[in-house]
Amino acid sequence: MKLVLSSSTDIFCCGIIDNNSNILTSIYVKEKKIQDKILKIIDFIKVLGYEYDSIGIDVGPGGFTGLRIGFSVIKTISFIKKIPVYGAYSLDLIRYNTVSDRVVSGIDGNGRIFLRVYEKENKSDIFDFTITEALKFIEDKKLYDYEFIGNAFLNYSKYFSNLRINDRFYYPTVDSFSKCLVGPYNYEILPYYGRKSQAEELKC
Amino acid sequence: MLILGIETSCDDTGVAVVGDGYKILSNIVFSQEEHKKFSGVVPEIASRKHLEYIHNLIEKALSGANILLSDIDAVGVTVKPGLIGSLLVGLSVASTISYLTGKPLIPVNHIESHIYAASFDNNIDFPFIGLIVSGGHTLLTVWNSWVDKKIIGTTIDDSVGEAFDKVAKLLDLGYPGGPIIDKIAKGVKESSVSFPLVMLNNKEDRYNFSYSGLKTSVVYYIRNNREYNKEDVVYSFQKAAIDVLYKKTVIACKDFNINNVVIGGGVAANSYLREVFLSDKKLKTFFPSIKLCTDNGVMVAGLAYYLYKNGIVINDPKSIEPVDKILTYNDKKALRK
Repeated sequence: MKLVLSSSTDIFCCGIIDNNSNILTSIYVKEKKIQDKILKIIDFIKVLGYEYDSIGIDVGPGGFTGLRIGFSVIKTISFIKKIPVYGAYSLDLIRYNTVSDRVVSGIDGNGRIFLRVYEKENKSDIFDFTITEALKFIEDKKLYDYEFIGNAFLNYSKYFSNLRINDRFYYPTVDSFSKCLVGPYNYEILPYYGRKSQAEELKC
Repeated sequence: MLILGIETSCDDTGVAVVGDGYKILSNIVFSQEEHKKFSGVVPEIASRKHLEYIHNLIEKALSGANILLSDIDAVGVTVKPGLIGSLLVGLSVASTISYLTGKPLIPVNHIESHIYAASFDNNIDFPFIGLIVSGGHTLLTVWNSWVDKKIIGTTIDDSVGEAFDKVAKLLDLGYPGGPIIDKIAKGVKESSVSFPLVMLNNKEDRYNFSYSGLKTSVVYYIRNNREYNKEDVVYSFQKAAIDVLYKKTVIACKDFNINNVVIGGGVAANSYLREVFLSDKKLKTFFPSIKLCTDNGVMVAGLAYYLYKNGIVINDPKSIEPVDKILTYNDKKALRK
């Protein structure tokens, strides 16, 4: 059984999935403060009635602080219980919330957009765009008939109003984990931040 | 009683195991070098590095102490003040250890632990005047026990350590400024340059400090004296910055009729500061060892022992919130009355 956790968007999720990808239990946390969210997740993990032998973590990209806090908890569990950690990109987790073949997944990265394009089993690199760059990319690649999913397209909806946006499952879900985990890694696994800190970028 | 101490308030990741508040079984500190090129701490980089290294450091601290995690009796963690993102990494790791092992979680105040650091090498009697001098803080405090402390003075602008860093940057000396300035100033016996001693003599600032004026004096001096001697400037700046700490501490000692002084924080490693305080035979001044002046897990684990003995334990982690500042605007206002 696997414990899975996502903390890359404003909705944290955590759950237990068995070896047949069935969800045994799950929780979605929407508290405003990141600390409250992670403590609610810790409380949830504390009282789990299941023994898990590995962990799945959303490695990002997404909110830096959320990712770090999720990783702090997961890496510590892996460190103490000596169990492996598997990783999944947040964009892939969101992509598998829909069954469409042609999907554009987008995560709000604090005023910028992390974006990935999926065509059946193929997927593009992860891009880190400004809103203008994202709009130009969509136009250049003629992606108008794709399904757009993820919080980026909702948070900046006024810029993407002419797109086909899936506004239901715009955050990583426990259901998607079994489809996109890679690994195993040990507790040395780190988040995929997708970009340098602002200070580093300015220095560069 | 064995306590695992975790310190991640700024750019040093510190993990240690301490027995009964005084026996140092291990002390592992990882100092992040990445900030040097920015001449200051970049919070986002600091948090990322804490997450990258903390588990390896915990492993090293446990093996250094020759124990298993299950041998630990409690976990002490810095919860304030500090960089929120950095504190959150330490707090999340400590909370998870606490819940997985069932061991108590003890919240530690960073500045209090800096003062406690002096107790590892000294027998300190209460009451004492505590002077905390670091890159983030300049505080005068009165202590009646390890769990009974009152802040009586603070800086109204920059901290003393910040002033060292800024002047070092101004003179292109490197980062962190404190050790570099200390080293250069040691080679100077006298200086023709003189900077004002910012005493804030008015009644409401009796125990308060100000360092922005001193820094501005240095700016104007080097602007108006293009052929300035760097060593002279460094020596005189350090003297002005440290002398005011000494004079204000003496005022507090007289007012409270206390002769014991404990100094903690990164600037407590400054050799001139040590010389000035130790040469005053009316005072009994205690310093941490140089190794324990900077951020470390030892001081956290040590103080956590006394906090635990006094029933200070986090029963509900939701009640603990990392805090970036030790004093709010209103606290500072109250200290100027």
